[in-house]
Amino acid sequence: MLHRLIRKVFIVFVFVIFTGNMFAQNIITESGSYKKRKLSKVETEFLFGYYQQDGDHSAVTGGIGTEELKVYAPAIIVIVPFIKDSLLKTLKVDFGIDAYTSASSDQIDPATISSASSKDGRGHISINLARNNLITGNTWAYSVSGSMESDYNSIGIGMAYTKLSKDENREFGINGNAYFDTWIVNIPIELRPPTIKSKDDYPRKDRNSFSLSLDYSQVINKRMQMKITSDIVYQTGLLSTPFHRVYFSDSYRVRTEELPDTRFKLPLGIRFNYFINSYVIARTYYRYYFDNWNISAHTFNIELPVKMNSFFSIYPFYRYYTQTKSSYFKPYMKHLSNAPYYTSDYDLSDFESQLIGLGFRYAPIDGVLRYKNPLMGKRKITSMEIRYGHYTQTTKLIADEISMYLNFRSN
Amino acid sequence: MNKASWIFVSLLTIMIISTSCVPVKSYQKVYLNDIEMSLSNRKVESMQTNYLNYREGATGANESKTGGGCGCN
Repeated sequence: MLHRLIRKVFIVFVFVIFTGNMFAQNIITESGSYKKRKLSKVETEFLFGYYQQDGDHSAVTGGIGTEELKVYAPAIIVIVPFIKDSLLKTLKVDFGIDAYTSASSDQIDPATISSASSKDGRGHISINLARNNLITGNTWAYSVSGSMESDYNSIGIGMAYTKLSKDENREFGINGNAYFDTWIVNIPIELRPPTIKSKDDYPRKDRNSFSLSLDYSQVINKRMQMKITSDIVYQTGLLSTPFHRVYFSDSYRVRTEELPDTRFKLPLGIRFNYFINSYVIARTYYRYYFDNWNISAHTFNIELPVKMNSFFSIYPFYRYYTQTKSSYFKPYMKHLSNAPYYTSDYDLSDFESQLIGLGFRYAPIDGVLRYKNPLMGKRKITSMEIRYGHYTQTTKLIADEISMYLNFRSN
Repeated sequence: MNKASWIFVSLLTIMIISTSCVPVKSYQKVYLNDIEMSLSNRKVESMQTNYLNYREGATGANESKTGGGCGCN
């Protein structure tokens, strides 16, 4: 099923790339009341990521057991600009599939060998329309999104406003999003009541998320600029994961994890970029996070792009992260059965993590690769980027990830 | 120092930095407009931010999911 899924995505990708030029037209009017405008060309972006992990604290089996997981994630983004007078409208359509195999998901129903739950996929799409006034520099943007997987569906809407200062040294943005999600509650096989005979009998429960993001960018001098970002997030509904098991120190009964039905999160982030000399740039990022589940976290990230020449750069990066545990977390068989809330999901435990990696970006003036489409004419790959990261946690989780980005335009 | 003190000190530091800024004209932005100086995540980073959101308790303030849209934290 997985290779068929990836084959379908590849066919869609080839179709989009080779027909993506159909909207790229040069529109010039000669009417006296209109200004001549050459329509910008369509961009198509292709992203592919491969991720694998393993560890010993699977939440599906109560905080013990394999966390082996592999994810293949292709995505295509099509960007279509329209321009009339001083108004630039940009339509962006982003769609992709996350196809994954998970050894722990197989344990939701361990009686079946290589059950369907061990392989799954998530399809997602988002559509964004932005209106940028080229004179004032202000932008309004509207978005809708959706995703679907075997046990979770989501619909999202969003709106954003960005204001640029007259001297273009400062920018302020505000962005609101709402997600209306539905869990198809798939609990472990041994805990299902006899009335549940198939997936159609699984109950449905809602999860809603609301966020307000504020960001402020500031030019400091000719080589330095910074950005502050904050998100205020409120979630309500089924916030636990229905198939996560919890075992107790004072009872032989196993239950599914139980978490509060509300959560408030507040992350604050700051980016600081500095062009050190003609070849080296420092990109730094710090975030402080806290929520009402008693998790607080610090994130520090540094990246040092080295410009080998005007079109090739290589960048090592390092990220350090530390978090405190949620009030509701305890390891395997440490919870008391009379606790109102309990989880053994190590994503909510206290740990430190490190991520180290390397990436490179190649964007020559004439493009990486030119080719000719018999129907659409000359096309080119304008830039490519490849990135690898190795991630470790003090919980013994280890992961590797490699991603690729390609940008296509008509030539 | 408690949380409120940290937030206050951070905001005060940011305000001091902001007021000492030098105005830069558009034709002087040759370094600032370099793609490596962008104040946004790289597009190739999207998978990384996704799996970090799944594997860690903290999310947000980095142009990624803050909650919702997936069965994750």
